[in-house]
Amino acid sequence: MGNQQSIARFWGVPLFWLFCLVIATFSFPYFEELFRQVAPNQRQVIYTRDSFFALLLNHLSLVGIAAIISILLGVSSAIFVTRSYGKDFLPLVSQIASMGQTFPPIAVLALSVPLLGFGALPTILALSLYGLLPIVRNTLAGIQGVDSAVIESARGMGMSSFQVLRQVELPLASTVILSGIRTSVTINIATAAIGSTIGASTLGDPVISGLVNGNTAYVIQGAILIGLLALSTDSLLDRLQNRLSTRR
Amino acid sequence: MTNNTMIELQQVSKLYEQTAAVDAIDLTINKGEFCVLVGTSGCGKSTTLRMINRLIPHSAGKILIEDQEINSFNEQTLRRRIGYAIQNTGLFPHWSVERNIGTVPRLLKWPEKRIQERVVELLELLNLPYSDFAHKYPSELSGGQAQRVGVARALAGDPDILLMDEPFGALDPITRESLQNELLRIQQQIHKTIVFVTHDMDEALKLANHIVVMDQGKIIQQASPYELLLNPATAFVSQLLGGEDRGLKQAGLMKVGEHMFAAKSSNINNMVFNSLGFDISATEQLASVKTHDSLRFALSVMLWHQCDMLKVEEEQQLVGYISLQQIMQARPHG
Amino acid sequence: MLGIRFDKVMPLLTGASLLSIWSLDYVNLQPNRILPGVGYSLQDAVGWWWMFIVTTLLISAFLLSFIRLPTKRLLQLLIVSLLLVFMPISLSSFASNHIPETLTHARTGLGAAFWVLLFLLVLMLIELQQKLKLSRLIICLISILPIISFLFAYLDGGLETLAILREYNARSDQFHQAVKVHITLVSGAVFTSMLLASCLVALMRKVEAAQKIIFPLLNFIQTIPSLALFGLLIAPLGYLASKSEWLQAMNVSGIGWAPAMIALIAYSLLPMVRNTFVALEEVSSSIIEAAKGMGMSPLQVFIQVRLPLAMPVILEGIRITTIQAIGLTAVAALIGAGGLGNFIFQGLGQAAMDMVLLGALPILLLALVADLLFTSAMALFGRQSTRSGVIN
Repeated sequence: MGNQQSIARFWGVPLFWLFCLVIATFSFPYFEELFRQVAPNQRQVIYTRDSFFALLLNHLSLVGIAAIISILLGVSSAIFVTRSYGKDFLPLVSQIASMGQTFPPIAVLALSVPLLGFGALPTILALSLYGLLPIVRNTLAGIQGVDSAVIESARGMGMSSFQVLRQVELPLASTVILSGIRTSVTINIATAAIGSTIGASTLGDPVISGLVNGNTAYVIQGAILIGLLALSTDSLLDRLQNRLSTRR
Repeated sequence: MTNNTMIELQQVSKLYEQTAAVDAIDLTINKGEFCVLVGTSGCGKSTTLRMINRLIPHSAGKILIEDQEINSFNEQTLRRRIGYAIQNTGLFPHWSVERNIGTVPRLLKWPEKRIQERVVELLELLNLPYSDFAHKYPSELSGGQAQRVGVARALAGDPDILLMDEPFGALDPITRESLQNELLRIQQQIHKTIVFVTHDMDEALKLANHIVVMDQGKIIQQASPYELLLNPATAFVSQLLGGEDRGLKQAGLMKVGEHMFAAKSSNINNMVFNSLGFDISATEQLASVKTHDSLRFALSVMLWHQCDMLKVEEEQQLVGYISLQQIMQARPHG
Repeated sequence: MLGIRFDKVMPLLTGASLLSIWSLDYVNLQPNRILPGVGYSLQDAVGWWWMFIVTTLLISAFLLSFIRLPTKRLLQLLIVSLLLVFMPISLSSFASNHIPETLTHARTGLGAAFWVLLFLLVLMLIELQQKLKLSRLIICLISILPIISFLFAYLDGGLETLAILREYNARSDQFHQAVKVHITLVSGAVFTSMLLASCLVALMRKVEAAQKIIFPLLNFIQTIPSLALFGLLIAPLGYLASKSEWLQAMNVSGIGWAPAMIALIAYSLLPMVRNTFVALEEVSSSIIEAAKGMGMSPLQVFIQVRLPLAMPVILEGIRITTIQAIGLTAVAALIGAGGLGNFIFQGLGQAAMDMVLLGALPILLLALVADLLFTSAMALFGRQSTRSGVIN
């Protein structure tokens, strides 16, 4: 029971933000009077073009799909360039991963439109491309950070290269990799919100539509949900990272 | 080749870009032998060791383990049969001591119960109480404890051969000595074939029964510790042995028990004492040493107490005497 | 025995380049802004003679990878530089060959092959820099070459049909204004946050408890997406402005520069404070002790020892902050702060891709220049410093 208490305390912060997010998603219509104070001149003060829940789901699935693509691609390419058969590519890939983060995400998003057009698909592609960089960089740092004596003794005891990777390198790099994933997802939640401007339906919609029509109430509704989504995801990943690193 | 041979290197070389790190060496290591490769850094001793478990592929020659060329084995199967311990322990920081030791048994797919028993057995062998250590992580161990776990892990799969690459190199002198003693004790029990690399000649003399001196990729001399001390083949070897210091080193290899005269009835003692020109009445005040102390230690005690005769005691009981003259005349057996 | 191994990177990149120029459109031509464009391959665009030269150069670079020649990478670098110089010239050559003087509204759009070739050439440049272990300075000098050839082609009049330049010429005043606003917002935010960060760090070094409040707070702000933070600032600022004439006089309102500036500063504080604090704290205590032991006063220790040793990491903080602010300022265009983001969002609204490029490319360029400036400064300050920086 002491254990249960500590679990509750450990997951408390993300649970709190998640709770707020769920409440906010469903309760805005009940605060119509409050929002009318903010935007007294507007006929309508609650965003109704899509339900907030649908927008949240859409936002999450954009970020989620992009994250899955970047994690799969990022981790496997970092693994590839640290194996003997891919080491030719290591300098180039690590340089791109560190230079690429110089590009502002909004510029990458904007540039994807002339190449790919409007809609959800270009957004996902832009997000996964940009989200790749921190993951590649951290996976590289994590794998290269493993003590060479540890690798040598793993090989010396007769582990196959795959066993060394699976049982030694990846577990030891996992905290750093997860921190890269966290950076990537945090950036992507923010960028996906801006994705509204290139025609992806996300929680950015109320904000953009509010800005265009001068309806501050819409802006606030969208902004609160985006903020809560970012806070819950970030704190969740923070806790996960924490668990991984305290296991040793 | 006789059945007694465990590892045999025939004209083995390792080339890096045309320069030879190891240059056509021949070496035969017998079963149960404690073979120490010794030399300065860059002499090829570590390379030689790693060629035996194929961490480094050899460029030329043959390496045989129990008459079979090592390249005929699957790389991983070969390594699982050979224990391997290195200087920085290489313990997996994300696994507990228990899991670390169980690595090779797990790779060999032993049943879980047998692995568990093996871990308990090994921790006991290395004087690490199971309840205190099994669930610790490497970061919670001292240097000496970590190295003990490293040795236990190397022994876990019950390999016939144990390769050790300067395993005690990073330890402080006191811990190092106690681990050396520990290793000798363990070897008494398990009789593995051990190949051990070090740059420390004292360590080599203490542990080995077969010393291989290497320099610039070649074997300069191989012999038992006594032979090496008595007849260093080149100036380089005697320099490694510490030049004129080697008298002391030799004395360090001999035990008091093997060179003392045992205490008999007081009459006989008297006779011996008289023949040595010694006054029996002074024996009560003599300083004492133990039978398994080295002659070097006995000599040091004499110098300290400014005397030329010591009592040898075991558990407070007088068992014999040793004199300066005996130390001077002592020659290694065998 | 295995044969001699060859590096696989250059063959891959050159091979992909060949494939792209032989299979994709290099440019496309629109008679005016509305009509759809017609694609031209590189061969159609610049003639078979140029096509032959480019192909030969790429094949040579490809084949050089498999030759055991000590200078092969330098030769490849030469080829890559030549091709980079060629790219602006090719556009001007296209214009003179294919666009009659009568088509005064014709626009040249850049095709997939152009972008792919440019991207691959830049990758080759980076690859060769890494493998030859050249300093970034040399690469910067090499990248000046295509810029020079671009300027030549531009002044020669050969590039005026280029869509992005048409767009620029149509609104050059607006563009210059936007660049000015963008840089002002970024430098204002970075500078203010530097001052604020110094105060916060000083406080944190004096009062340990302050760390426990400041870091979580700044982390919290950093986590909130930019669009949300900009949006959340509108209502309170608008309210304050409506109540205070003084604020109105300063042109503060719920939208515009004020919320943008506040948000930019808030975001800039975390990297700035974190790097400065960590850098100052992590100067080795034995060095500080040695300085004290030689009789330096606390102020001397700080100015002569602690600060200079911490400088590379502090500069890294300013670098991260600046690059981040350049991107965030673009988003701030949504709340009416102006800057280059305006072109992006206007362009997106009108589906005018050239206008989007007119906003996005300069933003990219600004970020790259800022990165270069700060990495050079860091190299000057601490030769031991790396660009790894701090990863959350």
